[in-house]
Amino acid sequence: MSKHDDNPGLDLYGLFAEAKSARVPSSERLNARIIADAAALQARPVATRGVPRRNFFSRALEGLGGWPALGGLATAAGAGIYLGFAQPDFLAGGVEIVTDPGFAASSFLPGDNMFFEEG
Amino acid sequence: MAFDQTADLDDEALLVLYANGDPAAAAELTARLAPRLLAFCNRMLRDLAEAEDVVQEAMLRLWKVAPDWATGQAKPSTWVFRVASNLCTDRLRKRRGVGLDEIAEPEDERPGAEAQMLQAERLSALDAALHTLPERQRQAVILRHIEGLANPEIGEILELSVEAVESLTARGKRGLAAALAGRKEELGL
Repeated sequence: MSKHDDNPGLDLYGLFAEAKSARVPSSERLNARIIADAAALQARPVATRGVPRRNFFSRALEGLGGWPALGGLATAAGAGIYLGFAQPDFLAGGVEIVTDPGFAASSFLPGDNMFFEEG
Repeated sequence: MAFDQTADLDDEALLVLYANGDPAAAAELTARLAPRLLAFCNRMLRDLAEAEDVVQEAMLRLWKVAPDWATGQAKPSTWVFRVASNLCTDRLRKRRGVGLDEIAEPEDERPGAEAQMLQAERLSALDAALHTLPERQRQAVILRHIEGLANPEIGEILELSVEAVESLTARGKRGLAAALAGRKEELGL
C-alpha cells in the first residue's frame, strides 16, 4: 500500500513535507533566553549541593588515615594504659633496671639463658 | 569543552556535561532542541510568542532536572517534548475559558492573506485543518508527520501505546483529508 492510498486524491504527505521544510527558525533572542536560564542554574553551587561541609573531627580523622588507623591508635593507647597500671614483675624496680650494670637482656628470658651460656 | 567538540556527542552526554558545569553543552542542546520544540509548539498553539514561552519553560525544566538525570531513561529530546506537549495542553485548556474575541485570528483570515504565496496558503490551510482535530490527534500527527518522530517515541511523549499512536495518526489524517477536501483545487493539493 502506498502512503498516499489512505488519502486518495489528496497529497497530504507532500503538504507535511512542505510544513517540515518551512519550520519557524528558533530566534537568536529565544536561544539567548534559554541559554541564560541554563547559565543561571549552572551558576548555583550545584557541585556542593547535598554534600555537607566536613567538620574538624572529619578532617582530623582523614588526616590520621581514617577509621582503621584510628582503631590501631586506640588499641596502642589501651595497651599503654594497661601496662602503666599492671606494672609487670620485671619492671617492679622501675626504669632503674635499664641503668643497672648487672642488668642483662637474659633477665627478660630466663629460660633462654642457655643460649648466652653455651654460645 | 569547546562548542565544536560537543557536536559529536548525543543529547544525553550533553546533558551530563551541562550538569557538570560545561556551558557549551547548554548552547549545543539549545541549538538542537529549541527549533524542533518551537515548530511543534507553534503548530499546537498558533501563537509564536506563546510558543517561545513554552519552549523556554520546557528547556528550563530540562536544565533543572539535569543534575538528577538518570542515564538510560527516556532520551532528553523525548522528555522535553513531553513537557512541552503538556505545557501546550495546559495553555490550550486555559484558552477555552477565554472569549473568542480575545484569541488571535488564524493567519489565513488576516487582511492581506490573499497576497501570500501559494505555499504559505497551503501551510496556513494545513495549520487550520490541524486545529480542527482533537488535541491528541493533532499532537500525534504533528509529531509523526511533520517532526518525523517514530511511533514508539511519540508513545513515550504522549504516554500512549504504539497502537494508540497509530490509531490517533490514522484518524488524524482522515480528519485532515476531510478538512482540506473542499480546498483541494484552490490549494493545488
